[in-house]
Amino acid sequence: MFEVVAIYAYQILFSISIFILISLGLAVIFGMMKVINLAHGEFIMLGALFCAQLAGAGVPLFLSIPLAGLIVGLVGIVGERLVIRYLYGRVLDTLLATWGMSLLIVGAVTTFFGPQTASTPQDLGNISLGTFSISVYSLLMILLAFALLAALYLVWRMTRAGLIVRTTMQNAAMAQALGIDTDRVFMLTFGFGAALAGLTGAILVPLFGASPTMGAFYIAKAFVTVIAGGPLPLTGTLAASSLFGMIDGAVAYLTTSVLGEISVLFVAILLLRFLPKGVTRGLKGRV
Amino acid sequence: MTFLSAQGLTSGYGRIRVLDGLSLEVEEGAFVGILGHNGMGKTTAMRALMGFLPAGKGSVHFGGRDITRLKPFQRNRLGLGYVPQGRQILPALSVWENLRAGALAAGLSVQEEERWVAEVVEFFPRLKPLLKRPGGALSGGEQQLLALARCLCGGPRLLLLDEPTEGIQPSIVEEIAERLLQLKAASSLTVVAAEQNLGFIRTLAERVLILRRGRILHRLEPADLTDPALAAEFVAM
Repeated sequence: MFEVVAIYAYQILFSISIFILISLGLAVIFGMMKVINLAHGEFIMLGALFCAQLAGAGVPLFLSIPLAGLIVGLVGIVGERLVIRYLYGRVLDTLLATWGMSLLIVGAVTTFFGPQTASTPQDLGNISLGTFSISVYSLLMILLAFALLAALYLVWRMTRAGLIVRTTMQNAAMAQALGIDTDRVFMLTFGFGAALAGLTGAILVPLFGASPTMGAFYIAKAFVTVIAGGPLPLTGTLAASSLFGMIDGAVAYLTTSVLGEISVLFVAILLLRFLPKGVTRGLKGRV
Repeated sequence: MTFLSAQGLTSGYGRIRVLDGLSLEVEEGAFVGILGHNGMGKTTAMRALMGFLPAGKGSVHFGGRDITRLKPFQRNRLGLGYVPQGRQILPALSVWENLRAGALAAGLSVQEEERWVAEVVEFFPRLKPLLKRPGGALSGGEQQLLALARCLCGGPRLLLLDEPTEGIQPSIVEEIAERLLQLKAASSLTVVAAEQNLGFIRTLAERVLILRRGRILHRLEPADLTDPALAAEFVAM
């Protein structure tokens, strides 16, 4: 009996942590910066790809993961400087531009790295629970997902850097008048969001591998989570991830993973029908 | 010595020119009032001086430096403080965070920053019980005090005030005037205030500039404003 409860809890936490991880970068870029980033899935893919390449070249996995995140952050900064920075406040234009970026990234990766799926082994082993076995890596991933979200929340709410970003995102003109170099803040925040997406891809690569078109698999879930989360990007992401993760984990465990995803989208549609501004709507006034 | 000056400044929105050769000179430590009807370019002048609107022709100098091409944040870091029309309080940040935001660019350590902001709060006792409230929950008058306090947190050498009394309850207008007088007495703070409120300008300003159609039309002494005929000509009553 205990094993069944434990495996059930694990399944749900696993699902929730995936939702959190794939939404974090988007919570920054879309939730905070209001840039509809259709290249979000490709940032995740790049993270997975770079991590697989680094690990394949002999770099230890625990180093490859942050390095891959860092590289994707730099890719994000290049994209911001070349394209995005001209489009702040023009929502539809960011949508088109980032879609273009996503096509470009998929094309470039397919050309230079090929269309096959790269995988990265991890050797942390498994723990067995009666007849079940759980990989240690996925347990670490769950911890990491919650830790990243908590760290991001603390930076956002408690640090000076967080205050600079919140000030800039609320009223960039006033932030300028207060002496904040908003152009730089936008660049770094976008890069930070891209780095988080890259980190996610890198964390997921030992579990799911890396292929050029994998971004499409994550982007819809990420947007649904951030939108359903509502006006508070981080609290909302936690709330929506928990809800969707619970449904996905439970339904997938009882039936199949396809039904799990269908039920998540079904709940998301209901949720946005009745709470169109997201689950943290009533908490607005605190960012 | 001239502290802030504009020479033949033109500016506006797109192809609509609002400032048409604005020239003014402000001495260090002075309090200059800019009066004008609605639509004569007061806000545009303030926004151009702060760098939010590009200068077409002409130049702006501050503290002996040509700042015509500098961005607003660079001007702020040189010591230009700006309290915009409509106050622009950050509604989702607490009052305390709004004040901290004002001090961010001063280059202090976090401890120094908090001590300094607490000092500014002492100067505005009305804000003290409100520190944890979201800025958006304050009344217009309280927001105006907060906007002034936030600006002072950056340690400005010159304040640009854009209609600080607009739509504010009289008791807070008095409080703002009182604080500004105290500041003037205690430091060499220079103030340029665009206003329509004659009483406010008469109490505070040492010199009054009349803005009409984007340029300075007259220079007056505050005492001149007691002449109702003259005053009515320059400002909406």
